[in-house]
Amino acid sequence: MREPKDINILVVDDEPALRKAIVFDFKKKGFNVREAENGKLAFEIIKSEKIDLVLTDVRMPGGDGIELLENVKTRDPNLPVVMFITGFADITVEEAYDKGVNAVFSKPFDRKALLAAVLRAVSAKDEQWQARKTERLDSHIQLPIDLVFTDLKTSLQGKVLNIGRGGFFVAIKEPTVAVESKAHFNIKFQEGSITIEGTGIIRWVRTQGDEDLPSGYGIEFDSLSDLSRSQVIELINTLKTKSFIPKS
Amino acid sequence: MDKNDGSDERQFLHDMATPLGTAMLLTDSYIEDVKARPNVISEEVNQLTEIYAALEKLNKLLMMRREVLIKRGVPSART
Repeated sequence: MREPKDINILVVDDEPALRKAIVFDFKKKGFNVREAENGKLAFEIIKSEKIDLVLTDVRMPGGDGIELLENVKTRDPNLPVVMFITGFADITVEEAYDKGVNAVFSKPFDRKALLAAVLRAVSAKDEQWQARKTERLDSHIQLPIDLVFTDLKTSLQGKVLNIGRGGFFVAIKEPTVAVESKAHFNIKFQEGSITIEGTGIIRWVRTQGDEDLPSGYGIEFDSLSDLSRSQVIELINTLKTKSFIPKS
Repeated sequence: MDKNDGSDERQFLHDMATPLGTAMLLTDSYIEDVKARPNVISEEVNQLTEIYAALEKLNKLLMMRREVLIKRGVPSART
């Protein structure tokens, strides 16, 4: 695990009091912190300095967080971005994950949860996957998902399942389980004998599907079985996804 | 208010979230510092914890109101 002193964080918010409070808190934890008051200034810093993670607000005059996210992901899809949104923001949680954010927080946010999300996002790829250990399944599971597909390609084309860097979308006709609930998944692809088994957290729910996007759940990987971990890494490398949790 | 006269309630709640978030973050951080001191004064920790609890209560009320407005489909002038 990397030490905070080796991690460069860029905090982007137009509200100076909150921005400085976040900067103060991360500096206190030992991180190197840079700050910018809008997305345009932030992107200039990203282009000229080594930044390991971006923490950004959405609404900012002079370059918003969505434009910044798009620019960051075009430049480097692997640079982690954590976004602050409100219930009235110009981007939904679903869209934010699809655009590649590693975590979404509503203001006001829990600072300990924010720190944990930052540490998870900046840990090396291998460590991220190692951290997703197999855990004993217990009674906290609120959504069991057992699916068998012929092959991965057909399931993706049929918009039933889509896999991103940090999670997956699964189409469900009438989703009833709430956001933040825990899911257990066991997804098998007969061709190639691929099995993805583990647990995840429901990050968003689409209750009403349309022609292009079906209803279902956006689920972040929480734990993966040993076999699944290597298969998921291989799938992600093959798919070269920019989405953290894809919309469909 | 510098951005809002209060007539757009969704925007008003959105604008409230930032100063409230600042207060919560700084208070929580300060409580952590006070608790880490060699000679902790429990009364000081208790009072600070009460302040944080009050801020959390405000946050919960704000979130409840936000949900009500979203469910009603109340539009915001800025969205």
